[in-house]
Formats: sequence, C-alpha cells, structure tokens
Amino acid sequence: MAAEAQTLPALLAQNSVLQGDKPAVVADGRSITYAELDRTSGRLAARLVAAGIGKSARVGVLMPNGTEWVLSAAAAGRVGACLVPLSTLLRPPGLLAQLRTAAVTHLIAAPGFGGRFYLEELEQMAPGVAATTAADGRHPAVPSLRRVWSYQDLPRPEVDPALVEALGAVVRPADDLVILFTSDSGGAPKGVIHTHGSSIRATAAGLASRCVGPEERLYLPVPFFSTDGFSGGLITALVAGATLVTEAIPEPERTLELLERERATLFLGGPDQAVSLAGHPRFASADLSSLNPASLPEVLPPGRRPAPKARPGLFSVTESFGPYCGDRIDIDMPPSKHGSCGRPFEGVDVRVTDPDTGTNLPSGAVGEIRLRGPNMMRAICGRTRQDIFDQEGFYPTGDLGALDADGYLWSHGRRR
Amino acid sequence: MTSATIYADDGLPLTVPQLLRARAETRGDHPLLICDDDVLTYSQACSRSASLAKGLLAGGAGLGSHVALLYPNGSEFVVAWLAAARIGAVTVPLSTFSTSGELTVLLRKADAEILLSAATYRAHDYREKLASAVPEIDFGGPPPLLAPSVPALRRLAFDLLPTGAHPGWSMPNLLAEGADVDERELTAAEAIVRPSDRLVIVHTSGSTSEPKGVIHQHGSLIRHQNNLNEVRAYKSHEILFCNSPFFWIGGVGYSLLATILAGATLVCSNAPDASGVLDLIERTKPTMVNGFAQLVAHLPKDPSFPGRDLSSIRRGNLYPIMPDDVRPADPDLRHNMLGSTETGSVCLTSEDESDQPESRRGSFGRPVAGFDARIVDPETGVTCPAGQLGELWLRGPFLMEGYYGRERHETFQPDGWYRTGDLFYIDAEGFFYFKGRSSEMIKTSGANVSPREVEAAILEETGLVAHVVGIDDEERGQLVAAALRVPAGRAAPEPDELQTRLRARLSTYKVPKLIMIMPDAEVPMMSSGKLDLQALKERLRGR
Repeated sequence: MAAEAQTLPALLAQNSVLQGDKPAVVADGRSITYAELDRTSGRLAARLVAAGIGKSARVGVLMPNGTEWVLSAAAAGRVGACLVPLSTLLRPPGLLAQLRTAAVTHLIAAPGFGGRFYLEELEQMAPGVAATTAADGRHPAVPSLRRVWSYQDLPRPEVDPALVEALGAVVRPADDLVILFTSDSGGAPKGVIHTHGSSIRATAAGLASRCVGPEERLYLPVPFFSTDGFSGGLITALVAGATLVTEAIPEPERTLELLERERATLFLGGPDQAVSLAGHPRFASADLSSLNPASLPEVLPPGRRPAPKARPGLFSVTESFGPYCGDRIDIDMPPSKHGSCGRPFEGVDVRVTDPDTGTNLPSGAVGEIRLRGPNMMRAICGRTRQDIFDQEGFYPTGDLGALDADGYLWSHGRRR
Repeated sequence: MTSATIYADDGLPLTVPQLLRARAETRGDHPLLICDDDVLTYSQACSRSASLAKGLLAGGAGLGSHVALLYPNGSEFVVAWLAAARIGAVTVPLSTFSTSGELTVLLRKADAEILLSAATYRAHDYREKLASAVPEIDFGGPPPLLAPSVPALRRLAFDLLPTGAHPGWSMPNLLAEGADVDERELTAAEAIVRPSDRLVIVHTSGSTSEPKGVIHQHGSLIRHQNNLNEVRAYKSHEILFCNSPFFWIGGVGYSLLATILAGATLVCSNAPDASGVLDLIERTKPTMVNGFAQLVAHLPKDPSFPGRDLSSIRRGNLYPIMPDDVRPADPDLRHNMLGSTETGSVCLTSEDESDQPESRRGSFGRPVAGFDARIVDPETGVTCPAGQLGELWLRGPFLMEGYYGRERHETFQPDGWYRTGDLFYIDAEGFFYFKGRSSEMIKTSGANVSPREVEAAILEETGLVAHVVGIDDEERGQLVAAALRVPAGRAAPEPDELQTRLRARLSTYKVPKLIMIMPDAEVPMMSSGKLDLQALKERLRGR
C-alpha cells in the first residue's frame, strides 16, 4: 500500500512516480493516468494561482463526477486551498447556505447538469454576484466569495510551475483539505473539516479491510460531493494508487458495459443499483468475471456470494472521513460475529457511552458510540471545540451500538 | 462575572468586529491608546480600521486570509490588527526584532499572504530586510508577489516606500483601493465572522526552540481576556501602562484586547530613553501597571526618577515604578502570575493583590476560570498529591486551538490536556508554586527534584552560583549533582560541610550527593555563551 505521503500534493507526486502509466480515473469515456493527473492538475493549479487562489482559499466544486471534478480538486488541493465539494442536487437556497457556512472564496461550477444551471440559479439568489466579484467586489449575500467561474471559463494565464511546486511543498498534514457537508443534519448545514493528514490516514487505515490495493479498479458512481464518493472513491483510489471508474449518471445498460470494458474489480455502487443491474436483461450475458468477492453480493455469480450478514457492515460517518471500523469484506467473519460491523480501524478510539452522562459502558452494553483520535475531523464550520467534542475529546455520533469483548462493534440504530 | 465557557449569554461580543463596533458606540471619544505622542480614540480606531479593512477586501483578503503585521507598538499596529481581524482575516503579528532570515521563516511557516509593515523602526529598515529575505521581490514592478521562497505571500504594504518604487507596495495605495468599497460590503464581511474563527497566530519567543505559531480564536481569547479583566478589576475608568510588545501575547492579548474589552486606555512608550517614558507616565497618569519588570528596570536608575510623581499608579506588578505606599515590602509575598502564549496570556493568578503570609511565599495563585489544572508525574502520567512536584497540565476552552502547521494530536493528549513543561506543586490550600522546567527535573529514588530550587538554596547559603543537574545512577535512577562556580581568588566551601548546611534548608533527597568545586574559568560553555550542559554532566560523571 502506498500512503507514506501525508498530503495531497505528496500523494499526487508519489503516484505519478509509482503508478505513472496507470489510469487514475476513468469517467464517461475519458481516462487520465496518474502521470497525467499530476501534470494536468499542476497546469490547472498554475491557472488557479494566477487567478488569485491562495493558501487560505476555499474552493467550491459544483460539478458531476468526472475528470474535470478530479482535476479541479487536485489542482486546488495541491496548492493548499481547501476544497468544498457542493452537491449538484442542492436547491439554490441550500447552495447559498453552504457557500456561506463554508465561507467559500472561489466557486467552480459545471455550466449545466441534469437540467440545472447553477450559476444562473446563484445569480437569482444573489443578483449581480458574478459581475460584482469579477470586479473585485463582495456580494452581501455571500461576502466570502471572490470569484465565480464555469469550469470552461477558468482564466488561462498561468504562474510559473516553480511556484506551484513551492506551494505544494508547504502543504502540511495539519492543513485543511476538505469541507464535507453531511446530509443528516436537519437544521443549519454542517460542514465537517478534514485535514490532509486525517483524510489520508483515515483512508489508509481502512484499505486492508476494504480490500483496496493498487491493482484494484473500483467502480463507484456515488457523487464526489458525498463522503462516500469523495473519501470512499476518489481519495481511496489516490491513497491506494488504484484506478477509479465512475460515471455522472449511472444507467444499467451503460454501467454493465462500463464494468465489462474497464474490467472493474470492485463494485462499490449502492445496493439498489446492484439489484437493478442484476435484474437487467443484459446482466446474464455480461462478463463480470473481473469482479472480486469483496463486491456487493447482488452483482456476483451465485456461487461466490457470501452468507447473509457474514460480511461486516462498514460503520461510516463523515466526521471520521468514512468507515471507522470493519473487517475483511472479501471473506466471511467468524460465525459468532455475523451481523457485526467488525473492529475499529487504527487512528480512531471507539467508546460506547451512556448517552446522557457520557460515562463508559461495559462491553456488551448498548449505548451511544463516541469517537476520537488523530483521524477524526479537525472541526465543524462555525462551531467551537466545546460544541463538538465532549470533555474527554470524544465526538458523540448519535449512533447506538455495543462493543463486544473481542472488540467487535454491533449497530443498534440511531439515538432517539 | 467570569465564565468557564465561551458562550455565557451575558451579551459579551464574542468577535472582534462586534466588540469594536460596540466600544466605538459607547466609548467613541475615549482614548484607546496613548503611545508617546500617538493617540487613538475608540471611534478613530473604528473608522481608520474600517478604511483599511475595505482596502484589504479590495486586495482580495477576507475570512481566513493570513495577514502578517510588522509594527512597533502604536496606533498603526492597532489599526492594522483591527482592520484584518474585523473581516475575519487571521492576524500574524511579527517581532520587530526579527532579522531578515527570521522574517522569511516566520512568513513561510505562518503562510502569510499579506504583510502590513512599518517602513522603518529604530535601526531597522523592514523594506530592506524583506528585499534581502525574499530575493524575488522587485519593488520597481507591481504586486502580486509570486515568490517560491515564500510561496503564499502575495502583497506587502509599507507605510512609506523608497523613491522609484511601484506604489502598489504602499499602504496609501491599499487604502485608496478600498475607497470604492461599499460600507455594506464591510458590514457583510464582518457578519460572517464567528467566535470559532481564528483571530491571531502569536509566535512564542522561542528562547529554547524554534518559534511556534500559536492559534487563538475570537471567542476563546475574548472570553479569556474578559475573565482576566474581572480578576484584575480592569474597568473602563482605568488607565493601564504596559510596555509588552504587541506582537507577543502579553501585548496583543493581555494589554490591547483586554483594554478594548474594558473600554479603558492603554499607555505604552517607544521612547528610547528612560526620561521619555517617565514623562509619558507623569502626563498620562496610569492607574495600573502590568508587564515584565525587566522592561521598566531601567526607569528607577534615571537621575530624574526620585523627583517624578508616579502617584497615579495604584495596582499592578511593575513593582520598580510603583509608589512606596502600594509597592510590596517583599515581591515574593505577592501572588505571581503564570502566563504563556499557549494559554492566551495569564492562566494562574489571584484576584488578591495584597501581601500574603510567609507560608505562601512564591505562590502563583490558582487557575483562572475555564482552566483545569493537574500536577502530573511526567513519567507515569499519574496525578501528584498536594505538595509533590510534577509537571503542570492544563485543559479547557481558552487554551490555544493548537500550533499552526501541527496536528492536534502532536500537541495535546487525546483527552485534551496540554503539557506545559513547567514544574509546579500545589499546596494544601490549592495555591501553585513554580519550580522550573520539567525538562530539567531530576528523578532520584522515586522523588522529583527541581534543580532551580537547589540552586537557589546554594546561592543563599554560600553566595555562589551552582549548576545542579541529574546524572545517571544505577541505584537511584538519577543522582543530584552540583557544580559550584567559584570566581578566581574566592575561597570555596568544603563539599561535606556544604551538604550539612543544605540539609537544614532542603529535604535530604534534594541535597546534592555530589558537589564539585569548579573554578569559573573551567565551566564548560558553548559558543553561544550558554552553559554546555552535556559537557558539565560528563565532567560530573567523570568524578
């Protein structure tokens, strides 16, 4: 496994050397190797820096999955700017709220996607925002915003590549990499901040359980703006040095062709998608022999499917940058552990507590799952540490569970 | 009322923009700062910083931008600091003592994007220092700076430029750029600043290691300083004389931010001579004096000092300049204060400013609101009982967010404790006593010994300076050993006899088992002029 690199720029450089000719991302008919990813994102970074993106920038990315998303993210991240993946499904007021919460300074958007025209919608919410920011002004509706671009219209001038290199060299594991919005909050948007260090370490800690090595070709259609897509897909591929196969709009017939053509080894779509693929008339004749047994059972040949509940349910929260516990998903757990979520990954302490008092419960008892450790989020936008973590440094997840005597975690639903 | 939490529903403005607006409203014409002839009222601070804040916005700064400040104490520092802070930029005050090389390190480590700087101060020309620190700088051409040696830095603004320089590097130019910025844009930029946003990165003075950039947030630093104002009864009618540089926490936090919170007046001086400072004190009549006594040690030596009227001074800790009627008979019988950059200035102190009984000699008071303190055996991590020496560990919401560029787990224990590296013990009443640095602590037969305490006893007993260290010992773990420095021509005491005398002053386990008489000229020193501790230990071990 790669991952001595603790920052995105170091990871890009490392993969370029070790995995140069391997495709990093395959999306909708376009493929980009690790060497190209490093080189092309470096060129794009030189344009972003010339356009005013600096170390403290927070760059909103509002695009469907594809190579342009990956290049924008890599370009911004390698010069130390913090990424803010934004949902393509957000309605305009929700978008505005996230732009404000994350204090986005620069927005890169797809011109249009799925009948949506994001920049026009933003303009309706904040009239004049494009013109105001283009003239170095600030719009009262989103005062942090300094520039708004459609990807195609990103300015062309570039700074010297030496400056991009120098910026990459001062990115530290402690610097913020990304602000991920969680979907489970009812009220104000909740922007979870992860550093380069926490993101990369958390991802690396789960690779063995998730069976992702440099030879894998992961298929993952989940949007990059979600934790599963960003952490489970994009950063997973980069940390493992694997190939990510994705598509903006999955459609069964095309997905089956894609899986066949790209010889995908690991299917990481959702269960619903797996069921719809298995039910498609083309499924029987599709050659999915490249898929390994860690894939969802529905897309595996009947003989290779695991027994129900024999594989761990990966416990995942945005605050831990994806799964924080698990077990090998390609082989069955011991029968006594069927139905469990496996064991906590390195870098996360798991504690089961009385939800009201926060006191530790003995093994076997059901209580609230609380997490801490170097792979946890740095912060949540706009909240103080006291608002987020308990006195002992644990984050209360709101999930209920029990830790058995062997250290396996069992899920018992949500609190309340 | 003090509060152990940032939020307390007491109406305290928890961001600098809110605080500044509130004070400009109620204290408008009151002087915030008097620095020699430089006077800044609250409303001037608000309006001048608004103009600069607009310039910064036009220049591309905003929430989270890193703005470095390089000014001596004075209204320019205050205006620049407020301007950056009110739009949510992270301020990075830099030491005016910095050499050219140190400036590069600080600017690079702190990811400074904009530097606001005086052109010159005393013998320093900061334009020259910057130009030699950053070879890519060309003052003849326009900004931005795109320099791989300080890759994040884009813009410098000096209050004065050499002739022929491009105006883009000047403060007047930055202010002019802001002239078109609408008042509503500034208000909107201020409104998104939250208590959890970073306010300042203050660098530790770095006496023993490379300077570390300590991050403090708006809400926590404001609440903490508000608590400290309560403890020292710093109220709006007070006039505080404090000569701490604004680029250290004692300046930017304990004097500047504290003064704004109090709505009071801060007096400081850059006068090079003692009489200038004394003139200022007589003229401004401060009621309180705080800071490092070393910074005023030269004042009483001035020939004019005996005739000076400093009777306005009623409280504080700059004892050398306090009038007789309020000066302690013995400073060690007043509660001392422990402060550090990491704790946002003072964390141990007492509201009791009176002389204490002999039993409390050397007390540092107790932890202030919001700080949990433990004395911990640094090797075992076990909490020490009262009276036992150990390392001071602190926890709480007003501690720094962390060191810039380092991850939290590199700095804090998993459960949030911060190891100060200072040796303390607590007495039965809960008062804290400082006994040196834990890196110096000697562990002998399971007991902890502070070299400083033993050195002090030897000094009192003999009038001689000693260096006390722990040297490895099979039986005891470490052995307390002392090298006694004897100046040429001075008689040295007999080691055996000295041990006997020390037993009357110190617990037996603290009395050095090994005492070496060392002529002054033979004490091993490093090229820096500091004691060569390793060589000294070698020599003691060689015995």
